[in-house]
Amino acid sequence: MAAKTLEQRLNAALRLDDPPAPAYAAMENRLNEIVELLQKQIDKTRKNAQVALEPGHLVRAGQQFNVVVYIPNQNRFRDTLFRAYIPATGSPVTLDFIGDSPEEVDTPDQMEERVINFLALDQIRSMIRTLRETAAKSSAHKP
Amino acid sequence: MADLNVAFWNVQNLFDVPVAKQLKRGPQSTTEREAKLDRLGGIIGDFFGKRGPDLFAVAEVGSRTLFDELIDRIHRPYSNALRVWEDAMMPQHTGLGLVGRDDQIAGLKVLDVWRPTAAARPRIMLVECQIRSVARPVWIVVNHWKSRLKNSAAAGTSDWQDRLDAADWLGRRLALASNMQCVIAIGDFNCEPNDKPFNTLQLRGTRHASTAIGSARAAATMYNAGWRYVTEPDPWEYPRPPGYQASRPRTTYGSGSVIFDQLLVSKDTLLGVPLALRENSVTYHPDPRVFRYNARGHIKPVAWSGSRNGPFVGASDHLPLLSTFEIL
Repeated sequence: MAAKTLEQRLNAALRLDDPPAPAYAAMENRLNEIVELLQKQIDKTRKNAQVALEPGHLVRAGQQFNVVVYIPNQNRFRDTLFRAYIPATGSPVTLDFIGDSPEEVDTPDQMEERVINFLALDQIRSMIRTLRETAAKSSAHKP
Repeated sequence: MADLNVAFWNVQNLFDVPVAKQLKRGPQSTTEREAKLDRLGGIIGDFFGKRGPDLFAVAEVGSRTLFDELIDRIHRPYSNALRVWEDAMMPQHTGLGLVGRDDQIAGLKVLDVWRPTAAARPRIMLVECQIRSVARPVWIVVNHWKSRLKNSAAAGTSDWQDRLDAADWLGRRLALASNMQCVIAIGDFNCEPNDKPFNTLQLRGTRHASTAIGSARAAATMYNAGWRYVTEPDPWEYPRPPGYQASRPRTTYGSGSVIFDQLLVSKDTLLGVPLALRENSVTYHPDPRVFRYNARGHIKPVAWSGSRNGPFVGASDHLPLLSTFEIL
């Protein structure tokens, strides 16, 4: 049997075409759903504001994902709403809403619940309302 | 030549009573709240030979109301002082404040604030400061970076990464300034002069003034006056007789030996364009109400403590940082 080439060995080692762990994919998919729905709330058109799931640092808790809002015409406004850290196994996910006191969740449903509770806080609702209004005003306000 | 006196103090868990009770830290009764405000106000007013600071930056204050009350307790003319405050969104968090006495300061304007997430407490507040006798505004950067204390190891989300992100943001923000921008960065950085956040590609806190003066990236390469506090206060080989008392602190926080509270200045704040740091003035306020000598003769901050209705001792688990600049 012919020896495997380096490329073949690398392919076999990384297996990047394999899907991620089902739990990882489920968590990431739910986060993407949340981002899509936040996008609809803030700017349905996507023209004035964009909500994105942006990969960040890889730390012990897992891959960092930042839920970020951009309003390019408002002095290139950019803010991170919250962060989620998904480990390779998909669970537990660590949620960071307020910069300390991280919270762990084991399932996409638990994650959804925690995110909804966070977004329902008066201060956060008010902030998102402001973002929506700012985005709407920014359409006539090119940098 | 006039002087500009600049001070910073992390005043340790100055929360309103209901929040403090919930958190189990900070004043647990109205008596304690009033006593702490009086103590802090009295000490701050005594800074700089009882003249009080011209610019005073503060961290670990829970609300705008408390910030105003604290400034109003200083027994100096601060009633018309300019005040800027960046609030925390969550009640368990603290904001950042800066006050400028109106006889020296004509304007304070918040230019930018950094927090890692929208609902996190502010880590950095960048303020444009107009000094009355100076044409060009200077930038004052008030800092209270992520603590090493909470939730770091357990969650693995790494408090040091938060501080690196803070340094990265500050370096990038200062890099947008003119290379002649006069910058004073002051605060509780929760890391020491030799730690990584002060040696990133974006931000440098140099050990020698000449490095900052010679840097082409002027505003983001600052001289860190904290370096000189990192070493032993007195030569080790000298005999230390009973009753030895160190000539200066080797810690700014708690009972360990860490220099967290620091002053960094840009090139033009060293060269006198328009301010010149009097480095000999950089001290951690040698007032018996804020520090004690431990059994080995080292200076330690005396944290605020006491039972519900007193008596109360100390002021804060951080030492206040004082510095004077010559206005040229």
